[in-house]
Amino acid sequence: MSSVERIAEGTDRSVGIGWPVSIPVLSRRPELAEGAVEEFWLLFSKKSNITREKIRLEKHSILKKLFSAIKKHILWGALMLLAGFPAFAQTQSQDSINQTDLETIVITGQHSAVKADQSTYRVQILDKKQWEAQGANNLADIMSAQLGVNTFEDPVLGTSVQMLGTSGQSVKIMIDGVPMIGRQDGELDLSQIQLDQIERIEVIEGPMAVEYGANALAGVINLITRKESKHPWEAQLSIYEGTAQSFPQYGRSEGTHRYHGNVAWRKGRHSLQLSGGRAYFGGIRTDKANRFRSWSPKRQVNATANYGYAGKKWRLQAGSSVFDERLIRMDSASGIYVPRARDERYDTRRQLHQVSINYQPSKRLHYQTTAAYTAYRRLKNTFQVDLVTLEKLQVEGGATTESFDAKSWRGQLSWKVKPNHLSLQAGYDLRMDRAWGDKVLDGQQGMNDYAFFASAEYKPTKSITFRPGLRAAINSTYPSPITPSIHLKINPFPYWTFRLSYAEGFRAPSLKELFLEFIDVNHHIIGNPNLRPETSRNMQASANWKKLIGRQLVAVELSGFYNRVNDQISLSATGDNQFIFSYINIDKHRSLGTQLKLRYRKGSLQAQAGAAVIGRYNDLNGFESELTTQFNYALNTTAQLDYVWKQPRLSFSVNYKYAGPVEGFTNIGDLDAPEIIPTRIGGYQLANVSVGRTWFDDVLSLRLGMRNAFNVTDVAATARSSAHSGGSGQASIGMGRSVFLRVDIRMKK
Amino acid sequence: MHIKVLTSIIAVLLLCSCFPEDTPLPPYEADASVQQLQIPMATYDDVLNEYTYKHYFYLDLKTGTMQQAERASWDLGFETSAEGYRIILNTANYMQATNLGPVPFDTTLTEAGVKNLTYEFDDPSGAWERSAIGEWWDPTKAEATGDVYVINRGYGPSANLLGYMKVMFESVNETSFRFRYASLDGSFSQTTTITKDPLYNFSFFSLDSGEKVQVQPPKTDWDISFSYFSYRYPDGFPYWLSGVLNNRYQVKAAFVQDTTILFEELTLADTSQVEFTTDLDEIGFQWKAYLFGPPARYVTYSYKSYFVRDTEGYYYKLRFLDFYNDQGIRGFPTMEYVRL
Repeated sequence: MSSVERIAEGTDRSVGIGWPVSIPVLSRRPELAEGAVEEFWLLFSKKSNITREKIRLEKHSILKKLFSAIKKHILWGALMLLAGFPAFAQTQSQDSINQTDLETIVITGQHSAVKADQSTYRVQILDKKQWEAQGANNLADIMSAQLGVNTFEDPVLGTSVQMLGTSGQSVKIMIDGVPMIGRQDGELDLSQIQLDQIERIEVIEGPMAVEYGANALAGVINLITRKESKHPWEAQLSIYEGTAQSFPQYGRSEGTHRYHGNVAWRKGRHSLQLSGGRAYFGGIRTDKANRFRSWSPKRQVNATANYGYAGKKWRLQAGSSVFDERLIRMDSASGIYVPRARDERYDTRRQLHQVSINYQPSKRLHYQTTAAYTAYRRLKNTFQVDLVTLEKLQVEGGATTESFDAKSWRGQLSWKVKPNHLSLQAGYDLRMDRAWGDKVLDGQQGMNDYAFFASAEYKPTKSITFRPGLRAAINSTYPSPITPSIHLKINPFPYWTFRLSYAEGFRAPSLKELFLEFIDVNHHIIGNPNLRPETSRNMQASANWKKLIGRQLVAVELSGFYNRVNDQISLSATGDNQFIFSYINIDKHRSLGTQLKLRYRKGSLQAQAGAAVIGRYNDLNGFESELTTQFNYALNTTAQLDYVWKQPRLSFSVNYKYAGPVEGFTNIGDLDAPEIIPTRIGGYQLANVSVGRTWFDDVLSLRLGMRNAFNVTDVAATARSSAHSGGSGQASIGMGRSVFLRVDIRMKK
Repeated sequence: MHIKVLTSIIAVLLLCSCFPEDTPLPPYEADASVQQLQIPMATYDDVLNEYTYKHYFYLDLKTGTMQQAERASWDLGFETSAEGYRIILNTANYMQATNLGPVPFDTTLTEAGVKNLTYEFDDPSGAWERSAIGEWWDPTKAEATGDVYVINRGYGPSANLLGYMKVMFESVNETSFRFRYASLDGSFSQTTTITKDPLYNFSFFSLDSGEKVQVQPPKTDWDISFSYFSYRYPDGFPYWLSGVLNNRYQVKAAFVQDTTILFEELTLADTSQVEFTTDLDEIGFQWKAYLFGPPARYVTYSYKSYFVRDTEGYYYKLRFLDFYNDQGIRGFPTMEYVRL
């Protein structure tokens, strides 16, 4: 959803401070809240054929009762099982927590797969075991626990992320290097990114524009899928049951119910993986008597198929995945006199099909190419529900469609000119993006991008690595900047690693910002085809000390960054007409931060702690005021503890995060008469606790835990002003405390 | 056997969770004394592919009869009483005017030159001191100011821009008005006379046809009207919205400030407890609100009750129940009223 629509729908999370606060637009025009007939808002839900669709209600009352009875007892039963069940098997099992990241291999943006320690830039690795221990099911769950990362929730748009103090529009999220599409208001919904088929996640902070082009401005999140099974065949069934907010919100239509199955097979050079899953989340009800839910119920279904062939010098990987989500935004009844409600249904479908080939003719040459097609479609429908007859009627004009797709073809050749001294990489990245929908100019728009990039990794001595890189592109719509980057890694003393980097990046104007066309009776919002990309310059430095003392690993890392974004795109009233809005390159954004991370590991005990201070500064449309000329700093701390108790084969995991209050400012006036007021989002604490255990040689594993132990839902978000009453709203952070049980059955041969 | 177990397990897993279902609520049945009326304000427009408000609806509360007129059928309304000299604009078209002062009427103007001027529309309360045309005539001296007004005619039935015109009002007497109008560049210049008819509140004139047009029913035949109108929020933000405006002739209305009193319990005695006003927009639009959502929607405040004294002096209580029709289309307010 574009920020235009967001203004219309009242939760403009990007106004001014670029900070996803839901200070409703009501605060900009408090009077509007008190009743207005703003016809123009309405046209946001425009154009549909006259359709009448009666939806019959499913009725299987006997089954319903039976299932709800089963549901009620599953959790209690499992709890008792975990508490009292004797240990059956004593065989040694793989112990993830013992796996050290000393050996972890990373691939994102590298010439060839390297150990994380050897990468010229900092790569953070998130491991499957780690997120499973936290009860995380999707990318939103994981990112919310990360240091220096903030996540925000929207009842319809889902979870958005903020990295390096910069909004998620500038964070590139990829699956095996293929960028995900389908951004609403520039943000990807992280809760739609399922993790069942993901093996690990590589997170790089700072621009990766040389390697990945547009939108890799604040950072890159690359999800690496599981490529093949270690065994001839393997099957896994996972069940995740969770309560919503508090224990009573659990049942047939309440709480979280996830089922996922996976079969992997390997024979000779061939490997095949099939997986599928279904997840249902019942939303959050704030009032038992009211059908309204502050978090919308949703159902997600996904399926993937992957085929791999390993030749002697080459390897083929082909895969398809489809994701489907239905989300229903439930309204409260309009009144006792007219018992009706207006619901919105959002159907989202994502598809990703890709083929990639890795070819390694010699030890020194490596060619990799990936062709991908990815599509996204979101349908919105509005229903009027008659609460007397329970009849549902599709509302005329209440439907909108939005579609995006992208074809991409990327290839890169890496050449180790002199092993251990010099390696070169050159590549191309060709991309065709399309968008179509009711509000796109002429119904459909496209954009082509042809990019070429090259980088070198030069090691004059063993302890110095120097990596310059450059990317140039031709874009059919906007002037594409030439982006350079320089990374330097030095290991002057034993145990020490220093890294220094300068990189430029850019965020391309989205097809919506370029080609949105939304004109109606009193409103006029048009895209600006002359937009330039937002450009950024980023500097980073880090020092890392890491030592293995006997069985103990101690690591300390101190890092800092400075990020400067120019030409930020902002929606503004243009010209003399108060009703004409367009996008212009006007704002500037700076962020500045430092981070300290400590890590300790001894045997099966692993502890981590971190603190980050991130300052943000925004130049709002060039307006100066006392508020706008300073950095606003926010504190973030995290702590994590994992322990495996060998004898009763129990593993414990606790993680904690404190996100301090964030201050900023916003412009509630307009371009001619700015009125800049301070804003503040309160701090909050997140914690996840879990205990797990395995039986029968890892065939069965159970994990019982609690997510969001501090029961955080909304935090106060205020915008104070003298002239206007100002707005106080809520920034939605979490869905409250949830108790979960995860059961995994793994079989292999 | 195994297959049976397996399929039933799968069935349990997949069917266990599904979207919440509603429990039926009891229907609402109004008391027999209550008149229920739905006003079909919105009509479908093929150009906009959207429901929009194209009409005025005039309701006579006593008989329950409703008459309608095309919203864009007129531009200027002229007061009909013998001493009347006021002029109204069609604010349902979001029509606005600006006063250029006593410049020569032949001054050539361009759209680019006038579009940035500050325009005013008539206040929906009907207060003459806040009308757009204002005091063009001095009744004591019986003399016109000779001011030239530029009129932004606002939006037509399909939200089409109607453009600008210039107008100069020359004189008024007990039976008629005399005025000049032309397009900005001076073409289509006309001088015309419009007669007063005291049976009606106003004599309406269309700048398109150059003729007097029939819009409102006779002033004693209606009490409240439903249409678009222009409104300025207290901070000066102008808006075009839909709602209720009262008949200027004899009608008074009052909003029951104490919203804790149930509509059912309001009696004639309560009319002495509230303050009746002649503001035309006393009922106005605030019985509903647009919530930004999501889901974005209108809510109707059925707890807000109003008293109306009609042209014949009868008292009514009224309230609104809904703004959507049973197809879920907005612009179909359902009103309940009871004669006291």
